[in-house]
Amino acid sequence: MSMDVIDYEIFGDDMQYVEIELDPGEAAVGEAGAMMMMQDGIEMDTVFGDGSRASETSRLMGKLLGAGKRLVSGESLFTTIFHNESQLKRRVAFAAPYPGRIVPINLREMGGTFICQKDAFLCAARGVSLGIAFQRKLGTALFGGEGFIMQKLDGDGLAFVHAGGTLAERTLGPGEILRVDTGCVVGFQPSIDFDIQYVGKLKSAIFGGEGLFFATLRGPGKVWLQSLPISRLAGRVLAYAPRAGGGREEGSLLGILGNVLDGDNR
Amino acid sequence: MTTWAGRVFGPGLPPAGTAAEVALDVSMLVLQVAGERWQRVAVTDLALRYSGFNDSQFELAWRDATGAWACHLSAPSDIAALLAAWPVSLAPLPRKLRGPRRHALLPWTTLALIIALPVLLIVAFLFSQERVIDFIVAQISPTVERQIGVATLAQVRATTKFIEQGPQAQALAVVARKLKVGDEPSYRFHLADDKVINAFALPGGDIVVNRGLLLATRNPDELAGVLAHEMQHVALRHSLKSMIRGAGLSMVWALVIGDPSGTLVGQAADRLLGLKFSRDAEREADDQGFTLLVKRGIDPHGMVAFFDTLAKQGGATPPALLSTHPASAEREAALAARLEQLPADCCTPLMIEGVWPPR
Repeated sequence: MSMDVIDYEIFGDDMQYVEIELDPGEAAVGEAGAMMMMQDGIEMDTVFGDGSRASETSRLMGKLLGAGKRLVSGESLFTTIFHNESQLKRRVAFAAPYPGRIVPINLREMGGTFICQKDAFLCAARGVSLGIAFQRKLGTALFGGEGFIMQKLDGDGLAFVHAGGTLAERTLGPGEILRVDTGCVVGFQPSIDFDIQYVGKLKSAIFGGEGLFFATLRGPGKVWLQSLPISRLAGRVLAYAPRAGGGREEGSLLGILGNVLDGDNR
Repeated sequence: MTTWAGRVFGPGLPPAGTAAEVALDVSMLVLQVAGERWQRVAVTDLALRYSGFNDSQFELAWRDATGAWACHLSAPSDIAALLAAWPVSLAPLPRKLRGPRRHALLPWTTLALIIALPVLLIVAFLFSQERVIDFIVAQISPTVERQIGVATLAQVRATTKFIEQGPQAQALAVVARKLKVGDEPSYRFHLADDKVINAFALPGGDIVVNRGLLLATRNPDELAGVLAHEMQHVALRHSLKSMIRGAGLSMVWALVIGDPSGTLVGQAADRLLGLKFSRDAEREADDQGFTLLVKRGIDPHGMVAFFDTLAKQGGATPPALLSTHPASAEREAALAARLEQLPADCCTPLMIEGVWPPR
């Protein structure tokens, strides 16, 4: 499968966006709603399905299937294709939807396939096909923190995935095992054995705060981990959010003075 | 030599591995990277297992001085071909070589099963109802059966007076004694002071005959016929079967494992009093009752004659006995056929002293 070779640049520190440079005729696919800006000359096209060449050539059923898969993995039925219709190099940028990092994944280097948590996909060179990878190990699906459905990126071009906090890239040697807090796995090569392991001690399971299970990743291959899953961030934000009637809002009776007096030291 | 597409991981290679062609040369695993013969590993040094996401890849792992190595095959056809070509005599395959999960959609299958299970159970129950009921009845011990019978009898006693003495009670006892010589389970016959023409059997061996029925019989043979029929309901545990057919599963369960509080026995008694038997149960009781009569040397003509009278009496208000014992032309025909086959000198009419019916 031939891919469009794209150049890119990632901007920002913790709230990043990626700018992709498209040669005339080249195209990129983006997750619906991820586009931040695009230069004159880039045309936006919304297609049913994942916009890969495979799905372009297939009939209606194939398109429906591709769209259905996207729906299952929690994404929009449609993908947006950005193609450069001008005679010059043009740029389009995609922004991450929450604090975190964007990492480029070279699918050719990965051996053609990359498996990531659903929602992680941000954008890719045209030709990358997006599918779902069903987690068939019941225990891993229930307790591994990534659910039954993961996303599969196929192709040999560049794809950009995004996750919360700082992203750690790890290389595991043959047989090497990494134990990870559930929910912190962003993605991995298909050669990685993704499983779960009981934390081992009842006391740790109940009071250790890590839950009953660890996710285990067994090498060989590359894995990416996130330091702050969005669900955890959302939970913390919610915990500190002013509750109805009882919160410390700017508009309270004492105003700024009130906030100074009670010292927001939580 | 056939080669398969693999991916090699190891010291000095790119972290994400590198594509390789894998082949088997008798006792050696041959790895070629970019067309060049690159490494040979003895098959005896390899550890085999399914690995990777969903166990979809096959891993050949080995160690050497530089570190740990692994080669992964991902195409199912390649894995099958490799396993087929594997020199088992040199390096036996590990015993627990668990393949990739076969059920592609395990979650969906589970969900479908959970939904379908109750439906399947109901269908299975309807299809093999009789067998299931027979099985459950077989699990209920005679003690529990007797308990239910006693509780029911107590309820009957609460509303109806039983006649313990007098010529009528004696007549019933005499006829009963003729029928139950040395028979198990032991039957106990009771005469209820009730004008309604009826008789019923309770689980455990209690049989209640109303005075109305006794008065309606024209000779002891007819009474014996009714008693023989009711005794078969007890022997074949018909009341338990009907009860279980109508009862909820929880009650069945409690009866099978025992009923510590005893409340269920009371509920069972309630149910029993409103019971009707199926036609099959009636036919069975007729048939075996008939056999019992002949065995005891009692004339079965009386039994047939009495049921015939009852049916004719029917009219606008059929006797209660008919409502709890549904009659049918088929039943009568079956009994009549057996009467014809009977040898002429099989039995003699029962002789009871005094007038019949006793006053």
